[in-house]
Amino acid sequence: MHRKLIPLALRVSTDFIAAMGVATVIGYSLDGYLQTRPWGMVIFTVLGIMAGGLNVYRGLTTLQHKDRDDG
Amino acid sequence: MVDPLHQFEIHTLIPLRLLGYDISFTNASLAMALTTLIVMGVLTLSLNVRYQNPTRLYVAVESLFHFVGDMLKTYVGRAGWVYFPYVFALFMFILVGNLVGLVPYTFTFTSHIIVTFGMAALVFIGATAVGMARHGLRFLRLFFPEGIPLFVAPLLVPVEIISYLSRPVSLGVRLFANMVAGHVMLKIFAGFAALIAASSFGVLAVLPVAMNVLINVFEVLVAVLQAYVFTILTCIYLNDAINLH
Repeated sequence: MHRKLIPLALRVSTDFIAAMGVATVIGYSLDGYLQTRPWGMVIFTVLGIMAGGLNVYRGLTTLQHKDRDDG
Repeated sequence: MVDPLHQFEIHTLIPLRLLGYDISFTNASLAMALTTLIVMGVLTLSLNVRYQNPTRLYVAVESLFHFVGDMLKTYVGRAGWVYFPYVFALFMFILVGNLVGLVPYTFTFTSHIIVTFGMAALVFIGATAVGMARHGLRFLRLFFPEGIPLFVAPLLVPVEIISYLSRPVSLGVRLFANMVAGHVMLKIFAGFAALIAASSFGVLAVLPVAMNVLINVFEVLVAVLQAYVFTILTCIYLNDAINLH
């Protein structure tokens, strides 16, 4: 069980940061097109943090689910 | 002090141009070609089995084969078996590429973000195409699962889309960052060793060298683990595309 947790630990942290980064970049570029600085970036960063939380949750539940299947 | 980032520089070995693009054969291309040759060579040699006597190489390659196969079976199921060649090739390429990079004087192509991001983008586009081909527009259900009240849609759909778009980024950045961090660490400790050896306490240079030996062992672990993580995430993304919940 502990051996399986090492790849997981390496995974979820990047998943969280990547979602935040992607969302911030989307928000920033939307601002450029729509001239709505800084609202796009603010809203999308918040959405990105939520998406990051979702990623972490998914990563953890997928592993548990698969473990149960293995028995 | 040696520049720890110098090892990641790209040098042109054979200059080539095609339609105005620079497609020169560089040291990164050489490392990739070497990796491909090693993978192909080992796999071909392992098949050189006479009758009922499997060689050690054959058993080793077979266990790698089962390792990836079991991963695919656990995470995707029977339907994912058609994608085995792709997943296995990806795993072998990253694994051998990471390990080749650990040999002194070679080049680690997985320490370039464009290489890892290219592989991640291929997985992302491939998985999306597979999902679209299998489920058509029903694939978009991935962003709004059934049985969820409609009023959360304006919040849930953007969050799900961002979460989906973040996949190739996290996949590519993770492999890149792990390889770069390890190699920079090795170079920095090697630089310490050189500086201390040149000073009046030259004997103490043993300490950073010993540290480097430990880091090198750790780097082998990271190289294998990152190949494993990349492959397992490929399986998970394929699973999302094939078995729509």
